[in-house]
Amino acid sequence: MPNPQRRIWVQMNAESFAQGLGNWTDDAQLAQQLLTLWLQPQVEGARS
Amino acid sequence: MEPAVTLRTSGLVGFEADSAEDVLRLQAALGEADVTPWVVEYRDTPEGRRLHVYVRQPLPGLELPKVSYRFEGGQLIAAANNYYRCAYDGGPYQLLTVNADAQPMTAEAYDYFQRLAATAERRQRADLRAGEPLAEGSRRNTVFRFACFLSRWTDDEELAADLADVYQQAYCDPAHPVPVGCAAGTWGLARCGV
Repeated sequence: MPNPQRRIWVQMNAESFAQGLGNWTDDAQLAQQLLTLWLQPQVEGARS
Repeated sequence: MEPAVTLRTSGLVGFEADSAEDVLRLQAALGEADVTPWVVEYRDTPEGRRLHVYVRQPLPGLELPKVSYRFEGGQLIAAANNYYRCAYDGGPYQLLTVNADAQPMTAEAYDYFQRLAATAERRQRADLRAGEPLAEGSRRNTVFRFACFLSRWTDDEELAADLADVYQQAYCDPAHPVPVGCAAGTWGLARCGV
C-alpha cells in the first residue's frame, strides 16, 4: 500500500537533495543520474 | 611499515611538492611568505624530485585549521592533518637540509598559505562546476567530501558507494583505480565524522 506521508517526505527530500547536488555539479544529466539512483530505494520504501 | 611524521601532533606545518613544476610553485610560495624551512627532505622519482618541507607551527594560541599544504598536479590541497613519509629509519625520503635556527612560522606567513589554499579551492570548485575533470592529487579529497555530503542523505553504504562511483567516474581524470573501495573507505570516515 502506498504511504502518502512518506511519499511527501521523499518528494521534499528529493528536492533538497537535488539542490544539494547543485553545489557539486552543473551537469544536469549527471545530477539527474545521481538523483534517480538515490531516489530508487526511497520510492521503494514509500510504497511499503 | 614505513616511518612517517604526523604533522599536527608533531607541532609541524608541512608542505609537499610532487613534481618539478610543483617544487617551483612551492619554493616561490615559501619565498613570497618569507618562510624559512626547518627540515627539507627529497625523493627522486621518474617524474622528478619530490619535496617535503617542515616548518615549526606558529606560536601556541593561534588556531590552525590546516597544517598540510600539498602542491600536486598544479593544484594546492590543504588538509587539517596529514602524515608524510619521511627520511628516518629507512624511509623513502632523503634529508636535504636542516636549519636548526629556523624560527616557527609567523602568523602572517600562515595566513598567506591559508589565503593561497582558499583561492585554489575556489578555483577548483569553479572548474568542477564548469565540467573540468579533477586532477590527480585532489580526487580522494573531493570524493571524500562528496561522501560526507551523501552521509546526510542516506545511511545505505552500498548506495553511497554507487553514488560516489558515478560522481568520480564523471569527474576524476584519471578515474580512481579502486572506485568502490575508495567510496566505501571515505564513507566509513564520513560516518565517523572525520
